[in-house]
Amino acid sequence: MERRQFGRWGAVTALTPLRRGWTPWLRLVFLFGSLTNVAAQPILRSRVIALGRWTLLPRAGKPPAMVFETNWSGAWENYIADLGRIMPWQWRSIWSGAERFPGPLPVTDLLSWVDVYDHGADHFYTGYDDTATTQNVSRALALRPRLARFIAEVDGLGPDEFGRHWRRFTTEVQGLV
Amino acid sequence: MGDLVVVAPVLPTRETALRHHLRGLAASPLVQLPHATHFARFVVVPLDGPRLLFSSRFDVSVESYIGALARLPAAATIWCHCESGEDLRDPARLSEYLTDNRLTSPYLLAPWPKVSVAEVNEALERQARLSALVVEAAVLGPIGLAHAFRERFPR
Repeated sequence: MERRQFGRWGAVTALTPLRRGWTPWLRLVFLFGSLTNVAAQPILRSRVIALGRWTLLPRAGKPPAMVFETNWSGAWENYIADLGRIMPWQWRSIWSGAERFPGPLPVTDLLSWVDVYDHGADHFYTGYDDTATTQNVSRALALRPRLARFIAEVDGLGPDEFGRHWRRFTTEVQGLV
Repeated sequence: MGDLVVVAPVLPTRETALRHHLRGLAASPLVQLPHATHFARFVVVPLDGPRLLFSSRFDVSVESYIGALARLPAAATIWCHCESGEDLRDPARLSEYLTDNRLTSPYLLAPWPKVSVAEVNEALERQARLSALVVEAAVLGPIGLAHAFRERFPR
């Protein structure tokens, strides 16, 4: 699949036919996912995924197909492999009813399977700055309130006092700049 | 914050032309929208024949986004490759068409669900400004550093 990487962003559009009877279960899984982020915490903590969207597509006279769209920063092999490794039961709960799903592990089988069903994107767009990645957007957003507090904190301080606050602040936020 | 998925049947004779058109776009038509888009894609997928899937996540209501999208001639050019008995160059018809072919996604995962595109870009810009100052700070004295900081991050 050649149309999967767009600058710093990756885009997968995996369309998988579902077997009969799987949709009611899937709706429960998605309802649970919409009510709480507990199941998604491992991937959100990894600061790689920028978007995940699951949609059911009706088909004439057949069970629906499911389209999984995702965006992330980095190499797709690492992204899908990490998803398989850190969220195996989440994968099973969603894709066990999908055609020829090999299971999340071993990840080599999972990668081959995604490669078959992925259509990438014929056109991709993001309104984010060219420098954006999931990692640096997460860091920049975490920095935002701390920087605002620091600006207020040093207002009116003399140079020496400012310098002391500056050293403490830059030490605290060194992982975010 | 809005999210939109539209899946429309592509005229079988236009599938290759549509793919070629989408892949050859020098600039995204979505740049012309008055509303900011986080991520969007157009992709032709096989589902009982070719289907054009368009999805987007944005900072306004779905209705506003569809209305703005339907007013773009470049968007009409894309959806004119799809099956419709109507003239999709008419913004009102295209708006109806997009609404009729809209699907609701039962599950969406976004790591910063309540942050706008403008806020993301502003946070990145401030982060870059601070990173540059951290580097410069090594050669600035206390007065220069305090002055440079206040100049770049006014209260």
